[in-house]
Amino acid sequence: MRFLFQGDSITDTGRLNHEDPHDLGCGYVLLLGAELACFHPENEILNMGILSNRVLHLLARWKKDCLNLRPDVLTVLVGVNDGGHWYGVKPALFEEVYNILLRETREKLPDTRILLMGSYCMHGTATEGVWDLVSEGTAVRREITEKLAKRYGTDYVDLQEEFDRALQKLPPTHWTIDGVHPTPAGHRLIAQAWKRAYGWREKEDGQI
Amino acid sequence: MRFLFQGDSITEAVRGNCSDPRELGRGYVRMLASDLTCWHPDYEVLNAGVGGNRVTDLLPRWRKDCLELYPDVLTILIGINDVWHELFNQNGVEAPLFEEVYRILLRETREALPGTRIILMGAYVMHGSATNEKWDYFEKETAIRREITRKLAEEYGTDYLDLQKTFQEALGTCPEECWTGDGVHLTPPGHRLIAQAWKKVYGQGCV
Repeated sequence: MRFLFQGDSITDTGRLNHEDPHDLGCGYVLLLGAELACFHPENEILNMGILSNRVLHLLARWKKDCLNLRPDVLTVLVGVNDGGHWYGVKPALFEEVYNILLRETREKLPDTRILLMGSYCMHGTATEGVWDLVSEGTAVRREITEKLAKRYGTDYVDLQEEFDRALQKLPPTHWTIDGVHPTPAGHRLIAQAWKRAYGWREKEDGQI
Repeated sequence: MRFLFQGDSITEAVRGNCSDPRELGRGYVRMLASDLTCWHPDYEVLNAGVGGNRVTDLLPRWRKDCLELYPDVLTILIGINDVWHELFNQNGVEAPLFEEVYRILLRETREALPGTRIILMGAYVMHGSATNEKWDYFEKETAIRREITRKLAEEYGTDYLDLQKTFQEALGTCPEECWTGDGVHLTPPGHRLIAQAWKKVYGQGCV
C-alpha cells in the first residue's frame, strides 16, 4: 500500500532532497510514516510536499510527483500560500486548478483513495497584522477544498476545526511556530486527525 | 513601450539570471531587442523565458513573470517541452490539459491587461540529434500543440506566428544543421529566422 502526501511547507517540513519522495521531513508525514509502516513493511510512505507551493505549482508537477508515483492513498494539503502569499491565487482560479488536479487524478488513478485536508491558520508572527486577510483567505480556500471533496467523493479533514478545538485548551504558541507551521505537537494533531479520517486503528499496528 | 517574451529554453537562450527579465540571453529576444530599441530609447525588451518550461510551468509564475511586468506587447512560445518531457521523464503535458492551461493564461492576461497586444508563436520541431529517434511522435504531437495554439490565437484575437512554416520554408534553402543541432534548440541563424518572422507579424515600428 503506497501513501503519498502532497502539499506545501507544512507537509515538506525541511526535506533535504525534493526529488526523493522517501525523504519524509520531520513533520506529520514522518509521524504517520513511522506508524503506518511500523509493523507493515508493505506500506510505503512518500512525501512530495514542497515549501511555498500554491495549487498552481502542484499542477505543474502533478504528473511527475503524483500520478507517476501511483499512490493507493493520496493526501493533499494546500491553500495557505494561495490565500496569504504575496503572489496568491484568487479563489476562482484556486478552485479551477484544484479541480483539474482531482479530475486528472480520478482519470489516471481511478482506484486511488483521496484525502483532502483543508488549510488552516492560527494567530502567530506570520499572521499577525494580516490576520483578517489570512484567516478569510484561508477560510475561502478551505470551503472550496471541502466542496471539491464532496464533488469527487474524497475524504475531507477539517484541520481548522482540529486546531480550533485544541486552542481551547492550549495557546497558539503550543501548536504553531508562526501561525502556519506547526510545532511537533501541532504535527501530531494533524497526524491524529488524518488517522481518524483514514480509519487507522491503533491495534492495526499489531502492538495492542 | 514594453515588450515581454515568455517561453522555454528557446526563448531563454542561456540567460545568466532567470529572475532578471532584463537578462536577454543570446537568442532571438536579444536580436529583437537590438532592433527594437536601436532608435527607440522608450522601448524596453524583457525576456522571461525559462528552460524546461511546459505550459503548466508558466502558470505558477504568470503573475510575477508576466502580469506584474505590465507588457504592452506579450509574445509566447511554448509547447515543445510538453511533448519532449513525456519521452524524457514521463512528465509531458497531454494535449487537452495543454489547451486548458494555455487558455487560463490567455484569459488571465486579457482580464488583467486588456490593452496588451499578444503574439502567440506555434511550436516547431526539426530533424536533429534529440528528435530523430522518435521523429513521428515529435512531429505529430508538436503539430497538435501548434494547432491548439493557433486555435487559441483565433479565440482570443491575438496575432499568430507559425514557426513550423517559417522553418519549413528555410529548409528548402538550407538543411537542418543550419538552423538547429538537436532539432529544437537553434543556431544563431535559426534565432535570426524567428526574429525576422516575428517582425513581419509585428509590423509597424520595425526597420
